[in-house]
Amino acid sequence: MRSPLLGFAGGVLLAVALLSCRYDPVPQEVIDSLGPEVGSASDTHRPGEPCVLCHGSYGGVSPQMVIGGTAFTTDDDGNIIGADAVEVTVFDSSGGSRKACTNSAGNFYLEKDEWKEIAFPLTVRAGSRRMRSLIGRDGSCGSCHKIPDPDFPERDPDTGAAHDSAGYILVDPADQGACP
Amino acid sequence: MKLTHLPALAALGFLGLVAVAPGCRDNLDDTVTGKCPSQAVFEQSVSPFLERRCGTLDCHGSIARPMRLFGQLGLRHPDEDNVSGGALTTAVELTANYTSVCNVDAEKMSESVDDFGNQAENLLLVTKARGLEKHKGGKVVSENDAGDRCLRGWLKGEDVTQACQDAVDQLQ
Repeated sequence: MRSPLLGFAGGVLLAVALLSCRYDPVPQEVIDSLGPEVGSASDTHRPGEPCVLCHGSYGGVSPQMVIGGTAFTTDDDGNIIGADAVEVTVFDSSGGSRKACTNSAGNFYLEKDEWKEIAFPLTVRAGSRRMRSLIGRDGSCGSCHKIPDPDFPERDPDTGAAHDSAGYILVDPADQGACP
Repeated sequence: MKLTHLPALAALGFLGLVAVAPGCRDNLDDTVTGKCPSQAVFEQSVSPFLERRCGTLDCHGSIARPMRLFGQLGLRHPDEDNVSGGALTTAVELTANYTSVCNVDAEKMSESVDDFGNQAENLLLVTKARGLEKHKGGKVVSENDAGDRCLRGWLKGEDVTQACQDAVDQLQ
């Protein structure tokens, strides 16, 4: 009589244990804060968000990225928009580099398989603009370049800059179109 | 359990209480002031290197990380109104960085100062930077390179102006 019940309980415990092995509250809290997908996921979705949280080993979403971010620029009216077809070059500490192009949303990324031996820290050039600080370990540009969000009033409403944020990755409008 | 064991157990319990009680008598308000190498040299030479190499927002410029570092291109001090990438590193931030670095390994740091820096190579600041101790950021300096000389020289009370400047220049 007890065997089926015990088996069921064991299965539940095993399932819980396996799930808890994957659960990491630190990235999960950030992922949850990003909210649900609006529309369908594509390579132009969620501009400005920290890509590698989901497109990395924890999130497990394809494509798996080593670097991912969004470049922005200004239009003729001064509005912030995604920077299209901007060349982004990432340099690593071992002397290697890779290039990526932004799409119409300003999103760009490098897949993990393209750069398995990447050595942090990194430096980056987006269009004609060189990043002034290093990237220590986080491939998500949006982790440090946070964008304005009414839920985070401490961020500058125009640039996203804050104590812990460098704000938008802003490139010169003339840098657009450099990538095929 | 046999009742005859009760007196022995009571005696053991009493002895345990006597042994533990002195530990509870310490005044919790007591403070010990640790020693740390020159604050002026740190702020002038060492902090700029640490800010650039270690203080990025995704490493020691994160509020979630020990040895928190503030700086112009990283995390900004919450008591001031600067943003990352804005104004130069402030005096408040330099002092906070000094406090942070001195207290990573406070007791050993004090011992190292008393020993004129001869124990500096055992400090977490050095062993983690060299990758000898588990360090999420990996190996940051190699023995006797500019960054290593910057850190160790400061810990030994040496002039580290050039070493730290070289270490920063290599990161440009």
